[in-house]
Amino acid sequence: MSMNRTSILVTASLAAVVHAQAPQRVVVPASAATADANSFEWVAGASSPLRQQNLIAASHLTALVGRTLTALEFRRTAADEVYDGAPLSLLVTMSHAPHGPLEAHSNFASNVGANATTVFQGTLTLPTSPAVPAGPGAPVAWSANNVLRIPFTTPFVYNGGPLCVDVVGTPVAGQSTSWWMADAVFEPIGGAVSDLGGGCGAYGGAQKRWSYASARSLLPGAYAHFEAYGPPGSLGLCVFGHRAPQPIPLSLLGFASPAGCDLMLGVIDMLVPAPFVPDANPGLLHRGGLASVELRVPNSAVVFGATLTTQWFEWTQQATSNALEWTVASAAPSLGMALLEGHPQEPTGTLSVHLAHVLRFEAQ
Amino acid sequence: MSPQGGGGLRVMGPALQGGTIRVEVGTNVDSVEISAGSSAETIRHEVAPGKVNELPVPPVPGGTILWISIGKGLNRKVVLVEVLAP
Repeated sequence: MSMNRTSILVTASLAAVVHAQAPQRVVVPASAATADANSFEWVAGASSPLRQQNLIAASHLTALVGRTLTALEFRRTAADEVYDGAPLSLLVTMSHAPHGPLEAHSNFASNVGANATTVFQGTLTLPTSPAVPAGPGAPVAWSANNVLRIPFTTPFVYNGGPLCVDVVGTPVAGQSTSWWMADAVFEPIGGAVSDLGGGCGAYGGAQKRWSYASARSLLPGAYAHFEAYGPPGSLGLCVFGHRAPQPIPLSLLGFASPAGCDLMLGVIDMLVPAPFVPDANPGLLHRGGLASVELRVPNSAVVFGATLTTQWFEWTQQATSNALEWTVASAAPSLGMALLEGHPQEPTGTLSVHLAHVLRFEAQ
Repeated sequence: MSPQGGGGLRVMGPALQGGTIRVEVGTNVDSVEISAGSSAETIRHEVAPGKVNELPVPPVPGGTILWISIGKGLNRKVVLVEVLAP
């Protein structure tokens, strides 16, 4: 009897130890724990040098507060396609971010917290992953052949608040894979863009549409993207304001402009100069130079549904672009995650506040 | 037909005149740019939520090479596709 009682106590103690040491796994966002999410994203270093920062709101991480994070995993997306494996070099840094996803910056350094910790640096192998015949939407197991697992050589204690997961990946020379897509979640929201016309000059085809605004960037907490094509090396003026009741021919304002150049702005709020930068790829020089302007959209109800008009002016042609009337989305994204992505040698990247990887954390 | 491209942008299948081309984008950019090799007209298409897009082939003669690209700077990705007569 005494032996039995001892056995029971030992067994119970061992079970308690095993329970205490059993890793906890938390998938962010939780909705993708067992389900294939609705988008996909490449993996840093799988096929190109890449830096990816995922900023995660505290609301996704409540189960991990006070825990020690010991590994991070990316799961492949569901597709009826074998993904070829490849080795890749990774540098992974974790930190308590100085702000949440909707306050994220397009500058990588600004999103890294003071306690940045290198949790992994070295070479890992993306597994060769079998096809998922049922295709998108089919569940994909968190099994070794579907997952890039990054075991932390330095554990990271999560104390709460927004988390910055910073991954810099580089392919191993001659061994990259062309297509290995990790699961990602996409919130299908955006603003609206309406083309008002008024363009002229040598770019934009017959309709002279040489300026663009990204509807999906017109989100509270995002950077609204405005771009235009023009003579390489020339300077563009990106003009923000409110549309005029009637188009105003530029020639009436004293400009030596080609026919069809109409000012579509009645009120001008802001002028932003931007150069038309030639593409580094010589084959793309026929497009002209590309000028880019980013406008921070604050995460504030004040801007929900706000409407402005943007039109470019190119000096050497004295030409106007097509004007774009645009409207910010009527609500902030609710994803609670952001993804900043760019080249490791560049200080800034492209920020999305409506798209992010599906991640699984392992914690003790 | 094997996909063309990779590393964040690829094109599946042929580009037939009057048809569409299937473009897959694996990065977080929100638009795809298409132009013919000699014109200053670039057409932009916003990337759909699923990141797999059926985009119209521009009205160009068979044999024209289309330049399909995403991103900018060092993260620019380009795929060349020939337009085929049906």
